[in-house]
Amino acid sequence: MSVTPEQVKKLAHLARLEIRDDELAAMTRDMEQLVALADRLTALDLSQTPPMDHVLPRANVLRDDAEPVEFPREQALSGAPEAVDGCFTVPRVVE
Amino acid sequence: MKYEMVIGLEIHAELNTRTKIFCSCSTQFGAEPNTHVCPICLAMPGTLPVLNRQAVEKCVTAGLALGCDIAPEAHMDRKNYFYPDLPKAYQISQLFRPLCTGGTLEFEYEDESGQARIGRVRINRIHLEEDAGKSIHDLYGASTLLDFNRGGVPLIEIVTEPDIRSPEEAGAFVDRLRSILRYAGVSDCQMQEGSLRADINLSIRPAGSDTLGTRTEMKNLNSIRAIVRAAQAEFLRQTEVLEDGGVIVQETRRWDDAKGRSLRMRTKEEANDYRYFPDPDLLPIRVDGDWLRAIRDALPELPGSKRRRYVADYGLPEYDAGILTSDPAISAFFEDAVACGGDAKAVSNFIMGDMMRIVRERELDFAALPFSPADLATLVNRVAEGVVSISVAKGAVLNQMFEAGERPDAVIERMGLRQVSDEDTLRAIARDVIRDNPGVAQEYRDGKTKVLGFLMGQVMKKSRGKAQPAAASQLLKEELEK
Repeated sequence: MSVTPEQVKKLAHLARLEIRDDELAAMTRDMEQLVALADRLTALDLSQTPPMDHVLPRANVLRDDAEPVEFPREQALSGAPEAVDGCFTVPRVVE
Repeated sequence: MKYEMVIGLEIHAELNTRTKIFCSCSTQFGAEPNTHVCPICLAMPGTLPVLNRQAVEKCVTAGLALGCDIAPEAHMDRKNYFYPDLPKAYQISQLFRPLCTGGTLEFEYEDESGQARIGRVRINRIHLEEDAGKSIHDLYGASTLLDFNRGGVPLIEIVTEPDIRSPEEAGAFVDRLRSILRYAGVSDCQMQEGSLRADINLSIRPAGSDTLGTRTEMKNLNSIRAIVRAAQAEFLRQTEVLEDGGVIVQETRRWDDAKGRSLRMRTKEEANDYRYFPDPDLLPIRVDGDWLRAIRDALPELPGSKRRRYVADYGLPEYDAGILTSDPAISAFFEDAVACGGDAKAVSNFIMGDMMRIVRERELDFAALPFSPADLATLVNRVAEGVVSISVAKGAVLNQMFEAGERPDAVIERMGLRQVSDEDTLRAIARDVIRDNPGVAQEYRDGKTKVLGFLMGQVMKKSRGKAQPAAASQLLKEELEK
């Protein structure tokens, strides 16, 4: 399967990554190789192999809905570049 | 050309767990901003989510209540998108293997012309996911404020098939769904607090066609009325676009209920490339055998069967049964009052009439009234015994019960509200009324007997509602005919 530079640009946009024009060709080539690697799986006959749901052979790792635990707000906000009225603030987002 | 609308709904209901879906923060609504947050729901690096068992159970409960198949194995997936109210830059949701699939909801509703109809809407799936935080745009011009208290609150998303054909049907579906989710005990479904949110997917097509048109998605519908109005408005908008020779663009629109119209939010192609993949931080969920049986056994009686039971066991009219079972708190109050010895129809009349009106006006909750179902049963019995008149019971006594939580017998004694059937007292009142209204009394004697109603009104007024009506009426006639 081939990967086009446009697809790479689109993925970069979706992932909010900035890619310079001079990086695009190399990035496209790398991506193509990655896809080719994954494509090797499709060449195998896996009709008898159950899908592996998770690398760990466990299920139902759950916690009970117990008493809520509080966490101090100052600490929650302490890493934020900016906070107003107990809220994190970011540049204005328009819907 | 005549068009018909095709509607599918996506309904998000916040589950009423105590803690969030992946961490132990409180889910309480209305707290100070960011007081219910922690490193997990703020997506600090190195933290790991652990799924809330009761969130899984409530999702499965909702599925059972709607007749869904419960997947023996379900997974959590990541839905990737960037928005500041989503700190991980992905929402943990379910795409590939949701907990519940299939299912149907049947409900009665009245169509546009008021005709009774049966709606039958298939459920495509119910999946479990986390809510996002809240963005506040309005107060500060240059920035957006973020409150993550809601971030990580467990949600179920209920996706219907495009089976709905009218705004009224859509509204009735949501109404019945809300009732079922409340009965099942999975969500409070407070639309104004956002714990139940509906998105409408609507397309139109020439009537009789069976291909689907391009759909739009409408958000921000926070009442049943808004759902009905938004569907009506979107049907008209799309019809106008097509009739003007235009094409419908697949887009998300935001309903403005005050203005009664919608505005485009974003076009769908940009937004919906979510690149879902299984979340490696969370292990599979297996609801099988004993666990599924336990959830099924704990499922309470749902409104449909309750309604049938009220008609069969209590002899109530369908109409009463429908209203009483619309909300679990109301039906519980009703059942308890009947269990305490109140006559079912009399209790129903009190609840459906004055109590529901007062509860609505004062924004109270049937689950937390200042008096008990036993008090209502007592009041109903005092009316039946002739101790108080129905009007005094529904007026002064009920009012005082709401005001102060005072027991009905105490109100009756303290305020002297016992019905008067003593002949001498009633005769004296009747004479007073005749003396005060000589003209009207003469009209009666001249054969205009319908003025008796007016004179009886005066008797009731003079006795402050306490006169026993049958006795008073009899004595009044006697005095008039003397």
